[in-house]
Amino acid sequence: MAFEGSGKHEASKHTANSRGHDDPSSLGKLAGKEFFITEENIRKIEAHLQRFSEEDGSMAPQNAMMIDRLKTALAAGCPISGADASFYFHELYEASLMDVGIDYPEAHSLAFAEYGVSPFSVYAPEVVQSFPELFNSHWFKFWDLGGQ
Amino acid sequence: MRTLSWGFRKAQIWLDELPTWDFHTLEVVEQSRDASNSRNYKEKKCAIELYAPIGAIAYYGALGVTFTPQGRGRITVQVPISEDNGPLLDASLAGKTDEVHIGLPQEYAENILDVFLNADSVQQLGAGTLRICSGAHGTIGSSPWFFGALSRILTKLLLLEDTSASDESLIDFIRKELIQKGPSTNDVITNLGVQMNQIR
Repeated sequence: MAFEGSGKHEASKHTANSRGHDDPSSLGKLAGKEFFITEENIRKIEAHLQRFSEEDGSMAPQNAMMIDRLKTALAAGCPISGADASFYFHELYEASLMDVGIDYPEAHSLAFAEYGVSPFSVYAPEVVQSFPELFNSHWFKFWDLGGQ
Repeated sequence: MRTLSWGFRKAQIWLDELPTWDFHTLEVVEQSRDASNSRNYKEKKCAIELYAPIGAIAYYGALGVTFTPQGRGRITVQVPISEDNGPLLDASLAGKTDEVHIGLPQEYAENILDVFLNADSVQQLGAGTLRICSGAHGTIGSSPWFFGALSRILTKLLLLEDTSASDESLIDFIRKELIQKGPSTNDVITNLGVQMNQIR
Protein backbone atom coordinates (compact mmCIF):
# COMPACT_ATOMS: atom_id res chain seq x y z
CA MET A 1 0.00 0.00 0.00
CA ALA A 2 1.51 3.35 -1.00
CA PHE A 3 0.58 6.94 -0.23
CA GLU A 4 1.59 10.32 -1.55
CA GLY A 5 5.33 10.56 -1.21
CA SER A 6 5.84 6.95 -0.22
CA GLY A 7 7.17 4.06 -2.21
CA LYS A 8 6.59 0.36 -1.89
CA HIS A 9 8.42 -0.75 1.20
CA GLU A 10 9.21 -4.12 2.65
CA ALA A 11 7.99 -4.72 6.19
CA SER A 12 10.46 -4.91 9.02
CA LYS A 13 10.05 -5.85 12.66
CA HIS A 14 9.56 -3.01 15.14
CA THR A 15 10.72 -3.10 18.72
CA ALA A 16 9.99 -0.95 21.71
CA ASN A 17 13.62 -0.03 22.24
CA SER A 18 14.18 3.70 22.59
CA ARG A 19 17.44 3.61 20.67
CA GLY A 20 17.49 7.31 19.92
CA HIS A 21 16.51 9.27 16.85
CA ASP A 22 20.09 9.35 15.55
CA ASP A 23 20.03 5.58 15.16
CA PRO A 24 19.57 5.01 11.40
CA SER A 25 16.99 2.31 12.11
CA SER A 26 14.75 4.56 14.21
CA LEU A 27 13.18 6.19 11.14
CA GLY A 28 13.46 3.10 8.96
CA LYS A 29 12.61 3.73 5.33
CA LEU A 30 11.75 7.35 6.06
CA ALA A 31 15.24 8.24 7.29
CA GLY A 32 16.89 11.09 5.46
CA LYS A 33 13.94 11.62 3.14
CA GLU A 34 11.49 14.49 2.61
CA PHE A 35 7.91 14.15 1.46
CA PHE A 36 5.35 16.59 0.09
CA ILE A 37 1.96 16.03 1.64
CA THR A 38 -1.62 16.61 0.55
CA GLU A 39 -4.65 18.23 2.12
CA GLU A 40 -6.71 15.15 1.26
CA ASN A 41 -4.39 12.90 3.25
CA ILE A 42 -4.44 15.26 6.22
CA ARG A 43 -8.23 15.08 6.14
CA LYS A 44 -7.99 11.26 6.08
CA ILE A 45 -5.74 11.35 9.12
CA GLU A 46 -8.09 13.68 10.99
CA ALA A 47 -11.06 11.43 10.20
CA HIS A 48 -9.09 8.38 11.33
CA LEU A 49 -8.06 9.98 14.62
CA GLN A 50 -11.65 10.93 15.35
CA ARG A 51 -12.22 7.21 15.96
CA PHE A 52 -10.08 7.63 19.06
CA SER A 53 -11.49 10.97 20.16
CA GLU A 54 -11.47 11.98 23.79
CA GLU A 55 -14.44 11.22 25.98
CA ASP A 56 -15.67 14.77 25.34
CA GLY A 57 -15.33 14.33 21.56
CA SER A 58 -12.11 16.33 21.19
CA MET A 59 -8.87 15.09 19.68
CA ALA A 60 -6.00 14.13 21.98
CA PRO A 61 -3.78 17.24 22.33
CA GLN A 62 -0.61 15.58 21.07
CA ASN A 63 -2.47 14.43 17.94
CA ALA A 64 -3.94 17.90 17.45
CA MET A 65 -0.46 19.43 17.62
CA MET A 66 0.93 16.94 15.08
CA ILE A 67 -1.96 17.74 12.73
CA ASP A 68 -1.21 21.46 13.18
CA ARG A 69 2.40 20.82 12.19
CA LEU A 70 1.29 19.02 9.02
CA LYS A 71 -1.10 21.84 8.12
CA THR A 72 1.64 24.40 8.75
CA ALA A 73 4.01 22.55 6.40
CA LEU A 74 1.31 22.20 3.75
CA ALA A 75 0.41 25.89 3.95
CA ALA A 76 4.07 26.84 3.61
CA GLY A 77 4.57 24.45 0.69
CA CYS A 78 7.35 22.71 2.58
CA PRO A 79 8.09 18.99 2.60
CA ILE A 80 7.97 17.02 5.85
CA SER A 81 10.55 14.66 7.32
CA GLY A 82 11.42 12.91 10.59
CA ALA A 83 8.65 12.62 13.16
CA ASP A 84 6.18 14.47 10.94
CA ALA A 85 6.67 11.92 8.18
CA SER A 86 6.56 9.03 10.66
CA PHE A 87 3.24 10.28 12.10
CA TYR A 88 1.78 11.07 8.65
CA PHE A 89 2.53 7.69 7.09
CA HIS A 90 1.75 5.72 10.25
CA GLU A 91 -1.74 7.20 10.52
CA LEU A 92 -2.46 6.82 6.81
CA TYR A 93 -1.40 3.19 6.75
CA GLU A 94 -3.16 2.37 10.03
CA ALA A 95 -6.35 4.02 8.71
CA SER A 96 -6.22 2.09 5.45
CA LEU A 97 -5.94 -1.21 7.30
CA MET A 98 -8.70 -0.42 9.76
CA ASP A 99 -10.93 0.68 6.88
CA VAL A 100 -10.80 -2.89 5.54
CA GLY A 101 -11.63 -4.44 8.90
CA ILE A 102 -8.25 -5.07 10.53
CA ASP A 103 -8.43 -4.36 14.25
CA TYR A 104 -6.47 -1.54 15.88
CA PRO A 105 -3.68 -3.56 17.56
CA GLU A 106 -2.86 -5.39 14.35
CA ALA A 107 -3.12 -2.28 12.16
CA HIS A 108 -1.01 -0.27 14.61
CA SER A 109 1.76 -2.88 14.65
CA LEU A 110 1.70 -3.39 10.89
CA ALA A 111 1.98 0.36 10.34
CA PHE A 112 5.24 0.44 12.30
CA ALA A 113 6.51 -2.62 10.46
CA GLU A 114 5.60 -1.18 7.05
CA TYR A 115 8.01 1.73 7.43
CA GLY A 116 10.42 0.12 9.90
CA VAL A 117 10.22 3.10 12.25
CA SER A 118 10.54 3.24 16.02
CA PRO A 119 7.26 3.64 17.91
CA PHE A 120 8.90 6.63 19.60
CA SER A 121 9.33 8.41 16.26
CA VAL A 122 5.67 9.32 15.71
CA TYR A 123 5.56 12.41 17.92
CA ALA A 124 7.96 15.29 17.28
CA PRO A 125 10.28 16.34 20.12
CA GLU A 126 8.48 19.71 20.28
CA VAL A 127 5.24 17.83 20.96
CA VAL A 128 6.84 15.67 23.64
CA GLN A 129 8.22 18.80 25.29
CA SER A 130 4.87 20.59 25.05
CA PHE A 131 3.09 17.78 26.89
CA PRO A 132 5.68 16.23 29.20
CA GLU A 133 2.99 14.66 31.40
CA LEU A 134 1.75 12.60 28.44
CA PHE A 135 5.07 10.90 27.68
CA ASN A 136 7.44 8.77 29.73
CA SER A 137 11.22 8.94 30.00
CA HIS A 138 11.77 6.60 27.03
CA TRP A 139 10.35 9.29 24.73
CA PHE A 140 12.68 11.92 26.21
CA LYS A 141 15.61 9.56 25.87
CA PHE A 142 14.75 8.78 22.25
CA TRP A 143 14.73 12.47 21.32
CA ASP A 144 17.68 13.38 23.59
CA LEU A 145 15.50 15.74 25.60
CA GLY A 146 16.21 16.74 29.16
CA GLY A 147 13.58 17.36 31.78
CA GLN A 148 12.51 13.83 32.74
CA MET B 1 -12.10 -9.51 38.06
CA ARG B 2 -14.34 -7.61 35.65
CA THR B 3 -13.48 -6.98 32.00
CA LEU B 4 -14.89 -3.85 30.39
CA SER B 5 -14.63 -2.44 26.88
CA TRP B 6 -15.97 0.62 25.10
CA GLY B 7 -14.85 1.85 21.72
CA PHE B 8 -11.20 0.87 21.37
CA ARG B 9 -10.65 1.06 25.12
CA LYS B 10 -10.41 -1.87 27.49
CA ALA B 11 -10.15 -2.24 31.25
CA GLN B 12 -9.90 -4.97 33.83
CA ILE B 13 -11.07 -4.12 37.33
CA TRP B 14 -10.55 -5.98 40.57
CA LEU B 15 -12.86 -5.06 43.47
CA ASP B 16 -12.16 -6.54 46.92
CA GLU B 17 -9.38 -8.56 45.29
CA LEU B 18 -6.01 -7.91 43.70
CA PRO B 19 -4.05 -9.28 40.73
CA THR B 20 -0.79 -11.08 41.45
CA TRP B 21 1.71 -8.69 39.92
CA ASP B 22 4.43 -9.00 42.53
CA PHE B 23 7.58 -7.01 41.92
CA HIS B 24 10.88 -6.34 43.62
CA THR B 25 10.67 -3.07 45.55
CA LEU B 26 13.74 -0.83 45.52
CA GLU B 27 12.28 1.68 48.00
CA VAL B 28 8.93 2.85 49.33
CA VAL B 29 8.05 6.54 48.99
CA GLU B 30 5.70 7.67 51.75
CA GLN B 31 3.83 10.89 52.44
CA SER B 32 0.99 11.73 54.80
CA ARG B 33 -1.38 14.54 55.68
CA ASP B 34 -4.17 15.29 58.11
CA ALA B 35 -7.46 13.51 57.52
CA SER B 36 -10.79 13.17 59.22
CA ASN B 37 -11.54 10.03 61.17
CA SER B 38 -12.27 7.12 58.90
CA ARG B 39 -15.85 6.29 58.02
CA ASN B 40 -14.67 2.87 56.97
CA TYR B 41 -13.87 0.11 59.39
CA LYS B 42 -12.66 -2.62 57.10
CA GLU B 43 -9.73 -2.95 54.75
CA LYS B 44 -10.50 -2.24 51.12
CA LYS B 45 -8.61 -3.18 48.00
CA CYS B 46 -9.02 -2.70 44.28
CA ALA B 47 -6.99 -2.58 41.07
CA ILE B 48 -7.32 -1.50 37.46
CA GLU B 49 -5.54 -2.31 34.22
CA LEU B 50 -6.39 0.17 31.46
CA TYR B 51 -5.66 0.33 27.72
CA ALA B 52 -6.66 3.45 25.83
CA PRO B 53 -5.45 3.89 22.23
CA ILE B 54 -5.44 7.36 20.67
CA GLY B 55 -3.94 6.42 17.29
CA ALA B 56 -0.17 6.72 17.12
CA ILE B 57 0.11 5.63 20.75
CA ALA B 58 -1.98 3.49 23.08
CA TYR B 59 -1.97 4.55 26.71
CA TYR B 60 -1.39 1.69 29.13
CA GLY B 61 -1.03 1.24 32.85
CA ALA B 62 -2.09 -0.94 35.77
CA LEU B 63 -2.29 -0.11 39.45
CA GLY B 64 -3.60 -1.79 42.60
CA VAL B 65 -4.13 -0.34 46.08
CA THR B 66 -5.15 -1.36 49.60
CA PHE B 67 -6.70 0.95 52.19
CA THR B 68 -6.35 0.09 55.87
CA PRO B 69 -8.41 2.40 58.13
CA GLN B 70 -6.70 3.76 61.23
CA GLY B 71 -7.87 6.18 63.90
CA ARG B 72 -4.83 8.47 63.99
CA GLY B 73 -6.29 11.44 62.10
CA ARG B 74 -3.85 11.14 59.21
CA ILE B 75 -3.85 9.53 55.83
CA THR B 76 -0.57 7.95 54.74
CA VAL B 77 0.21 7.00 51.15
CA GLN B 78 2.93 4.45 50.39
CA VAL B 79 4.20 3.93 46.85
CA PRO B 80 6.73 1.14 46.24
CA ILE B 81 9.26 1.94 43.52
CA SER B 82 10.66 -0.76 41.26
CA GLU B 83 13.28 -0.88 38.55
CA ASP B 84 12.20 0.13 35.06
CA ASN B 85 12.57 -3.30 33.48
CA GLY B 86 10.79 -5.69 35.80
CA PRO B 87 9.31 -9.02 34.70
CA LEU B 88 7.34 -8.91 31.47
CA LEU B 89 3.56 -9.14 31.73
CA ASP B 90 2.79 -11.19 28.65
CA ALA B 91 -0.98 -11.36 28.94
CA SER B 92 -1.59 -7.63 29.27
CA LEU B 93 -4.40 -5.68 27.66
CA ALA B 94 -1.79 -3.91 25.51
CA GLY B 95 -1.13 -7.12 23.59
CA LYS B 96 1.42 -6.61 20.83
CA THR B 97 1.18 -2.80 20.89
CA ASP B 98 3.46 -2.34 23.90
CA GLU B 99 6.08 -4.02 26.04
CA VAL B 100 4.56 -4.27 29.49
CA HIS B 101 6.67 -4.74 32.63
CA ILE B 102 5.43 -5.50 36.12
CA GLY B 103 6.46 -2.82 38.59
CA LEU B 104 6.28 0.92 39.12
CA PRO B 105 9.20 3.11 38.00
CA GLN B 106 10.11 6.23 39.96
CA GLU B 107 8.83 8.60 37.27
CA TYR B 108 5.17 7.78 38.05
CA ALA B 109 5.37 8.02 41.84
CA GLU B 110 4.85 11.79 42.11
CA ASN B 111 1.54 11.81 40.24
CA ILE B 112 0.28 8.79 42.19
CA LEU B 113 1.20 10.37 45.52
CA ASP B 114 -0.34 13.70 44.54
CA VAL B 115 -3.67 12.15 43.62
CA PHE B 116 -3.93 9.85 46.62
CA LEU B 117 -2.99 12.63 49.03
CA ASN B 118 -5.16 15.37 47.59
CA ALA B 119 -8.21 13.92 45.85
CA ASP B 120 -11.54 14.88 47.45
CA SER B 121 -12.59 11.25 47.25
CA VAL B 122 -9.61 10.25 49.40
CA GLN B 123 -10.70 12.68 52.12
CA GLN B 124 -14.01 10.84 52.12
CA LEU B 125 -12.15 7.63 52.94
CA GLY B 126 -10.74 9.25 56.05
CA ALA B 127 -7.68 8.37 58.12
CA GLY B 128 -5.69 5.28 57.29
CA THR B 129 -2.96 3.90 55.10
CA LEU B 130 -3.19 3.68 51.32
CA ARG B 131 -0.58 1.31 50.00
CA ILE B 132 0.05 0.79 46.32
CA CYS B 133 0.54 -2.96 46.14
CA SER B 134 0.67 -3.76 42.45
CA GLY B 135 1.47 -2.07 39.17
CA ALA B 136 2.50 -2.58 35.58
CA HIS B 137 3.67 -0.10 32.95
CA GLY B 138 4.16 0.03 29.20
CA THR B 139 7.51 1.05 27.74
CA ILE B 140 5.70 3.14 25.12
CA GLY B 141 2.20 3.92 26.41
CA SER B 142 2.61 4.75 30.08
CA SER B 143 2.94 8.33 31.25
CA PRO B 144 2.78 10.34 34.48
CA TRP B 145 -0.63 11.71 33.43
CA PHE B 146 -2.00 8.22 32.81
CA PHE B 147 -0.88 6.96 36.22
CA GLY B 148 -2.54 10.03 37.73
CA ALA B 149 -5.74 9.07 35.94
CA LEU B 150 -5.47 5.47 37.17
CA SER B 151 -5.01 6.77 40.71
CA ARG B 152 -8.10 9.00 40.47
CA ILE B 153 -10.14 6.05 39.23
CA LEU B 154 -8.91 3.90 42.14
CA THR B 155 -9.86 6.56 44.70
CA LYS B 156 -13.42 6.37 43.40
CA LEU B 157 -13.46 2.58 43.30
CA LEU B 158 -12.34 2.48 46.94
CA LEU B 159 -15.46 4.42 47.89
CA LEU B 160 -17.80 2.02 46.15
CA GLU B 161 -20.17 0.55 48.71
CA ASP B 162 -21.52 -1.97 46.24
CA THR B 163 -18.91 -4.06 44.45
CA SER B 164 -21.60 -5.38 42.13
CA ALA B 165 -21.85 -1.92 40.48
CA SER B 166 -22.91 -2.13 36.83
CA ASP B 167 -20.38 -2.19 34.01
CA GLU B 168 -21.89 1.07 32.76
CA SER B 169 -21.25 2.87 36.03
CA LEU B 170 -17.66 1.58 36.18
CA ILE B 171 -17.04 2.69 32.60
CA ASP B 172 -18.49 6.08 33.50
CA PHE B 173 -15.95 6.43 36.34
CA ILE B 174 -13.13 5.69 33.92
CA ARG B 175 -14.31 7.84 30.99
CA LYS B 176 -14.45 10.97 33.13
CA GLU B 177 -10.79 10.57 34.08
CA LEU B 178 -9.54 10.10 30.52
CA ILE B 179 -10.19 13.60 29.25
CA GLN B 180 -6.91 15.38 28.62
CA LYS B 181 -6.50 19.11 28.66
CA GLY B 182 -5.43 20.59 25.35
CA PRO B 183 -2.89 23.38 25.01
CA SER B 184 -3.96 26.95 25.64
CA THR B 185 -4.45 29.32 22.70
CA ASN B 186 -1.19 31.05 23.65
CA ASP B 187 0.64 27.71 23.64
CA VAL B 188 -0.70 26.90 20.17
CA ILE B 189 0.30 30.29 18.75
CA THR B 190 3.78 30.03 20.29
CA ASN B 191 4.28 26.50 18.98
CA LEU B 192 3.09 27.41 15.48
CA GLY B 193 5.57 30.28 15.44
CA VAL B 194 8.40 27.93 16.43
CA GLN B 195 7.36 25.43 13.76
CA MET B 196 7.18 28.10 11.04
CA ASN B 197 10.70 29.24 11.89
CA GLN B 198 11.97 25.65 11.81
CA ILE B 199 10.36 25.01 8.43
CA ARG B 200 11.84 28.24 7.01
